[in-house]
Amino acid sequence: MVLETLTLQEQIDGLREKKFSSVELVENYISVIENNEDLNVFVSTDFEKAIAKAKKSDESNNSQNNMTLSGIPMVHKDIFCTQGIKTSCGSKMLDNFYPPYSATVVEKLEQAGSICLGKANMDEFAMGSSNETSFYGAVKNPLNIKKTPGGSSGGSAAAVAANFSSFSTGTDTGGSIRQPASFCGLAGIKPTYGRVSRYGMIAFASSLDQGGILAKNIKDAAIALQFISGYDSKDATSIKVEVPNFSKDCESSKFEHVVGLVTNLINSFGDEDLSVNYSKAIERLEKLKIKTKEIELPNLELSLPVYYVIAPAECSANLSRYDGIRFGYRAENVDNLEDLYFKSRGEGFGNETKKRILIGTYCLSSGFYDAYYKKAQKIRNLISSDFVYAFKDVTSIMLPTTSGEAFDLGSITDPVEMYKQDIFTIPANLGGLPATSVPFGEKNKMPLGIQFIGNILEESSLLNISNKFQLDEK
Amino acid sequence: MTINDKTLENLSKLSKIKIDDNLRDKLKEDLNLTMNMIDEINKIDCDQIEELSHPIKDNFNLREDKVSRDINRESLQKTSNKTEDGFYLVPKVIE
Amino acid sequence: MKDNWESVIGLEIHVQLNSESKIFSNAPTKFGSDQNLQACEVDLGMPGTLPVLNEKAIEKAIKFGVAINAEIAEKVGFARKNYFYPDLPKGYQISQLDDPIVGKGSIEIHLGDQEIKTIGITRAHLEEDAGKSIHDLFENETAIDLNRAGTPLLEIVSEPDMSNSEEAVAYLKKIHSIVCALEISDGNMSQGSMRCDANVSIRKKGDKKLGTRTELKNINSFKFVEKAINFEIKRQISCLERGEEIVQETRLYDSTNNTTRSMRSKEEANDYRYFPEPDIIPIQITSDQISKIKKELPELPDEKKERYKSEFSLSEYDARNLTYDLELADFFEKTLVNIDDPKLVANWILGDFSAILNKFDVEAKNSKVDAVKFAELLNYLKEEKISGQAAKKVLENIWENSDISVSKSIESLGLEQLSDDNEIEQIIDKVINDNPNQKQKFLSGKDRLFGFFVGQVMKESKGKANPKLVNEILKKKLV
Repeated sequence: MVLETLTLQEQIDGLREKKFSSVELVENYISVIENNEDLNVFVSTDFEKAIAKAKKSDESNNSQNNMTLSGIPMVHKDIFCTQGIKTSCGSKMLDNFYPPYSATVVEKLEQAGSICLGKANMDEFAMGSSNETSFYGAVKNPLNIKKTPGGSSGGSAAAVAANFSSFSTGTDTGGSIRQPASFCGLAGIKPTYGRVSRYGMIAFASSLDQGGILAKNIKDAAIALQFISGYDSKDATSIKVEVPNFSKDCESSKFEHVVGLVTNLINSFGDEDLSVNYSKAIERLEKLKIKTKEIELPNLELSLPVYYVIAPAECSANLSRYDGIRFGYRAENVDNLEDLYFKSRGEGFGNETKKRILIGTYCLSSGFYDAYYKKAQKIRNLISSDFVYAFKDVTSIMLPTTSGEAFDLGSITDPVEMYKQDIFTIPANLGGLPATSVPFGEKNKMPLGIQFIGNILEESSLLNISNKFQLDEK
Repeated sequence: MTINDKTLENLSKLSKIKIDDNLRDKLKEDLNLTMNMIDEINKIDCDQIEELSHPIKDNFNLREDKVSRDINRESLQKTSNKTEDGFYLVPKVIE
Repeated sequence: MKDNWESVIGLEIHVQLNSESKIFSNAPTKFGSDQNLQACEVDLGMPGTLPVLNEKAIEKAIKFGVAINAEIAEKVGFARKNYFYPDLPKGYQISQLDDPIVGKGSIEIHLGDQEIKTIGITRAHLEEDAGKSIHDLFENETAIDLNRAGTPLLEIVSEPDMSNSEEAVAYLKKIHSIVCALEISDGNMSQGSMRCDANVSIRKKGDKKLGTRTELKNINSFKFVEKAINFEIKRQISCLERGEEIVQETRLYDSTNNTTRSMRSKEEANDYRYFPEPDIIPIQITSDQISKIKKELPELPDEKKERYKSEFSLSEYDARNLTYDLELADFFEKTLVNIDDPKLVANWILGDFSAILNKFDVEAKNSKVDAVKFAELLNYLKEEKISGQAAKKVLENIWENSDISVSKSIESLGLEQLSDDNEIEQIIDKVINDNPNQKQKFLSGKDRLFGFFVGQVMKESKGKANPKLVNEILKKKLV
């Protein structure tokens, strides 16, 4: 029996029905992983521990808890702190960092019984859209190894696409779950800001970062999302509300949908392939007899400059703690304290990270704060208000996930071209809204994705429409 | 040009990041490309709009004043390259 | 100060709030533990950790705001203040910029016997304390102890309303008495629970515009505040009189040499790049919350003072001095439980009792003589069983020998009041006989010499003679 291609749901069912054991599942994955090391998916793995855990899980497998993840292998993005296990965040700065604590997301998945196979490679401090900024080198797209898997959760996406696990965790600050999901033909969800605890998730831009799931399909993503969601007293921005039953809601018929469309906006990009794929997606909605409504998102294009002020500004402060003193890379042979700072940070951070810190520092610095940071926060409010207005009439909004398919590694050298990757995904982060990416269409034999954006805390409805849309593919 | 050598020098000082000479020009170019893109926002008039710093409003959570942690200094200091006698050490600071 | 100059002073007081746990983590705040044993991963700024605000910090700050009749913010927002220093783990301090929890308020300070001056308080905001850098422990390194990192601070910023060091000290003392009365801080200055920076500038008398100011850092006792400010005023005046300009800078007070010196001129590099703290969503304060705190407010020093004046008929001066130091006030009230003579108790507490506290550098709550024993001693005095002079000796005696009772002390020192008419008569006779000249002068009209005779009698009786009886008998004998 081929186990590595099974969905998460099939694995849960199979384990419960004892069609196979957790040990078999884990061993299966390990051999696939070992045969595909060239993809450069992992920063670290611990197979021995994974097998030991699987054995334990098999021993205590009673078929009562069919909703737990007992014995299910998975992969964490290397941005989530794992106690005693290296957590690098894709940076030389943290190449020696073994956190004495675990992220809430990690603890929750552990409590649910899942087994972590390894920590997935990523863009340094989640800053990148191609995985090329990682200290450990780029991850290759399993569908075509010349291509990028996307970023920053590139390793997490490649892991699922290469059948190293049925789902993985990721984080999304401006599209870092949805864009790689789209590039690797997967489903991905970034929930509402505050739905998933950020404790122990290494910060890039605190008001935008949100943890989420990459999986083979929306249903699997819904199952896994259930376990990482919920209020956490260690994260003051996490939301104190009950978590709905996502996997049930995902397949429920109780949701009425009106999908907001932005056809004019998409056409205004003058990219024929983009427009065609979008109109095909609209056709599918029509075929599914789902109501649609044209809406306006007049400030959408401003998301990009706004994001490239806010995210770097927040990151410039978030990354100040890397000073070589209490953790992380410490330069040797330094003359004095200033030297320790300049060298540790100069040598420990990669170029993209430095760039973002410098941009952020610039936008916050004396004389520029009002023109950049403050202004960006004002426009952020405009963008967010556009969504509030739109959600008076619609239950979700459909957008492309990316403007194109996965590109060749090394092909984009202009930073702004790279940043433009995130034009459709950034708005949801600015508004704190939940959003999914669902595989839809292809270009140059590479998958494309369609994005659905939901209203605040309306993941159930969002997963439901995304699932309907994806199921029709079969 | 928005970011010139002098600005870059100041940014380097503020962020305590050493900038290698051989990377300086490329860095400056990239930063200016980015700033040009960002400058789009200056075309927008939104003086009357409030800033939005937190995507979810009114969701503040406070902590009870309880001490509930056993602090394991040894385990916390394992991540540091330079400690002695429970202290973190840095090159001598002369005030 | 030379006549044509005047100084303008504003204080920034950092008060450590006495919560059990830190402002953003649940590590303990207790003072004095071994290095880095009270710094958890949040305090260390470790990757992925997040701050969660302590509700007690909010409550204590509101208490202060209500006590000084200040506006309390409806929305309390935090901001990051960015700078690098090894004892600032995150590379930024979580502080407040635009939405301080406490807005404009004011307090009254008392100067001399009658004068009252109002000092404006610009704002008070919450922030986290930094750790400590220890420079003299290792030969080539500075040692970092982060136990203090994350201790809640209330920074109280005054208007530049003070014009000399006396006013600054009075203001600091008043703030001290308020935070102690509110029980929001232990107010222990020697342990750094209250630290003070002073902004000092000089201008020509009558000028409206403020001169360039310097900021004196970390002056940590009432005494040093006075000395540092006085030194700095003199320094600035002599600078200006030499025709030099005052440099806006931070200066450190050196208590050993009583000077101030410039701290690394980092001023121009100071660009703190404040921006709203994304990890903490602004907190809404409700009017219910404020009125609840208002209702539960303890008696404040000024209220206590008024009560002492009306309830115990104390003078403004006595009442004020007793209530400046709450521990003293507390001792006063405890003593009154066992003796009904507030004026006598007040005099003794502000006089000999305070003197002995000062002499041994002890606070009232740690007095070696408790309020019960103190009342007993004063009762002996009140009932004229001992003289005032004798009581002073007994106080010293029972302070040094805590196991000895008041009566035993009086007995062993032989200080019991002499109230036997015959014995006193004998002494008086002796004194009159020994001083025939003075007697003559007294009889010829020099009334003031009566005091001389009283003194001599007291001296002869080793201070034990009952002064009342001495007076009575002397009058008879001399006439």
